[in-house]
Amino acid sequence: MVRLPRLRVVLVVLVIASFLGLYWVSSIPQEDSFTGVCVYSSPGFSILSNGSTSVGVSEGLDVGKVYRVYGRFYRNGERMKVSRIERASPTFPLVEVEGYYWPSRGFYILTPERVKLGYPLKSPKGSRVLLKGIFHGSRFYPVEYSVEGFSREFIDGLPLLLEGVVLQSGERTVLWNGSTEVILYLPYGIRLKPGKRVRILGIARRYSKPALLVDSEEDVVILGNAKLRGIESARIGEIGVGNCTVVSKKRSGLKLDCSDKVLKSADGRVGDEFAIKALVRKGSILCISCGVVRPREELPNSICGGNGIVRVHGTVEWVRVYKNGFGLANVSNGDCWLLLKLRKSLNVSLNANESVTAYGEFTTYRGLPALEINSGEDVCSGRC
Amino acid sequence: MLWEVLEGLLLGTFTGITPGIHVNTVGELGLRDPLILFSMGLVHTFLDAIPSTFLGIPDEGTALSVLPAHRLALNGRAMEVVRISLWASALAVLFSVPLSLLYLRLAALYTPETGKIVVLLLLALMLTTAGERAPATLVIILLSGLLGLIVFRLPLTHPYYHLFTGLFGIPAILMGVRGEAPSGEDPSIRMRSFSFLEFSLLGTFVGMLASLVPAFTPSQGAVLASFFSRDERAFLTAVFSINTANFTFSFMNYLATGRVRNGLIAKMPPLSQGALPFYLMLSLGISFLVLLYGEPLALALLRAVRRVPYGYLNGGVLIFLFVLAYLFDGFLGAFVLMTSSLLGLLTLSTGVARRACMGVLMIPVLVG
Repeated sequence: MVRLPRLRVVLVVLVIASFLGLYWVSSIPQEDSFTGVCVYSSPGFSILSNGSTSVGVSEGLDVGKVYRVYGRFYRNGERMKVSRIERASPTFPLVEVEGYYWPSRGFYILTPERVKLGYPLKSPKGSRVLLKGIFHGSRFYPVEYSVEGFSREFIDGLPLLLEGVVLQSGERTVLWNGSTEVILYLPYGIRLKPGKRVRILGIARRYSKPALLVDSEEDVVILGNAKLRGIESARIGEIGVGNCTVVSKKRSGLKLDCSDKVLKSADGRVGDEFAIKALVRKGSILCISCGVVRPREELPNSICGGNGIVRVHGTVEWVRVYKNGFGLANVSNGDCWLLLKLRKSLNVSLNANESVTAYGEFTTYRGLPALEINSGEDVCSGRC
Repeated sequence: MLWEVLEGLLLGTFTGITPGIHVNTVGELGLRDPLILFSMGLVHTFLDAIPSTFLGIPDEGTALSVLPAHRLALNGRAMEVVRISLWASALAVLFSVPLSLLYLRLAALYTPETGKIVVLLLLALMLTTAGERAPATLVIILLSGLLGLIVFRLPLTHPYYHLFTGLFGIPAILMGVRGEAPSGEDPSIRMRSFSFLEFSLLGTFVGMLASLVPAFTPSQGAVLASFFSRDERAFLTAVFSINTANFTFSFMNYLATGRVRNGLIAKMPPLSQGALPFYLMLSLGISFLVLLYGEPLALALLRAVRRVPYGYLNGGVLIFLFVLAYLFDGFLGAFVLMTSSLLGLLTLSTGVARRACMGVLMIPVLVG
């Protein structure tokens, strides 16, 4: 039935007529146009948005660029069959956003609220930027932006670029920026050595002390070592250099004759002379490189007189111990004598005719020459 | 999880048995859950043979099967076609489990040029096997290609609906306007079991290839299968297996390479390749479920269809298809449907194998 030649001719004619009709429809000049920012792109599909309306087109465009597309809308204006695409300037209202660029597991602007960006900016991390663009979904798509440098001001929640000297590391890392101590919260595995001069980018936070939250290893740059200066004149954040003698030994560190702060991270005995390279901090100095240059055994016998910490060697002439435990020992080398003041806490007992060596400072006891001893280990009797 | 699978089953059943409603149409309702989408897509491939067989309405995956399936239904073998569809689809799922090992290696080797080469080979095969109808076949291929080139430039939401329904569905319905209503409640498959397995495996393999090459659709796979099949039943077995295998392998491709070969899969969130064993097990479970209820459902629909006088039914279906085209894309959609129907009728009138109408996809692929 359907193979009748006449039917075939009719069908051919109708097919050709329909084809011509369809071709005519497909070639009708394109009336619709839309201008928007490309907010999504894949090889064969892109989405343009003007902030309030989005249109999908079957073309791969560059995200972040503004295009004007010509063609015909379909799917209630959600898609456009495109005939022509051209780069354009925005003809739609742009939203201004001011803040700091922060690429960290995504791209953000900190205002200090986090505004997620649709694509990265060509701007250094932490720099202040002024952007104009549109919001599409939860993201902001900048169309134009300007970079305005870094912030040096401490504002809670905003990026801060700091330069300073590391004062402390370990459980917490402390940076001295020339006037303030700032606690650094570094990424896991990052450790900074005290005395290093560093440049750090992080987000400023005001906790009990000013703090900087650093989220990437790349945000920590080591610039070198802190400034060197004589130990007597070195200030906080500088490395003091010089020779000092241990005056006393405390739980918190060694007291030296060259500084009013205790020396940490070094071990020595009263009377030892150290060559010191130490970082000056608020309440202490931290040994970076310290070594004994003259052990106290090499001090001359100063039983007849001396200054500062001295070494006294002689024979015990007599010993007297009072009821309260305090004792006195008369030590003589034949020419001179002095009294060793033996506090009960020293836990030292001497006997007459013993040979004794003691380290301490000259003082008097009831007008008589005496030696003030700091600890039990500064007195040695018998074979010393 | 069970709820999502159930939801997918219900939606897939709805799209499968509803004439003219493609699974992607429902997918566009904002569904994103991969379990729902996967279940829905898989169930759809099992059941979309029902409207094709009973009413002659095709979709993208079953276009070439419409005529033989509808013909069998009009000759009293409607439920046999349904059973072929259900079991060929289930076998495709079963075969795709071991083939997945091979497929995951092949998926990584694909290059875009492969698609054009496959299409060129298919065209050559079509022309060389057309015999004395080779010139007419070439004309139909070129006309279909021209139709595709024009239609894909038009602002249409559902171009495939208009093209496939027009080229394959409406001519089938028009042929049956004065005929008998589809009938046949005997579901036994009149085919040797070995042959059934053989063609299902062939279909699974072709479906696998079709999912690798984006330009190579299940319908083009059916063209390939038509060269191997000896009769209508063998061809239908291959086509139904291709349809299901294409979906399961497209899903595997997505897991392995992230490439999207299916509109429904495009809506899924990224999934890891480690999820594959779970989805393979799920597909086996879904297949079993559809096998349980597919036939009773089809039988109920067949009885419902038979209650309506066939002439009125076909007339109603024709009107429904044009109304759907109008709802999808307005007058332009209806016009495209009419044009492709005319071309489908011309193909029938010239006696050219209807696979030549697949030029509608092949030529645009070659032109680029």
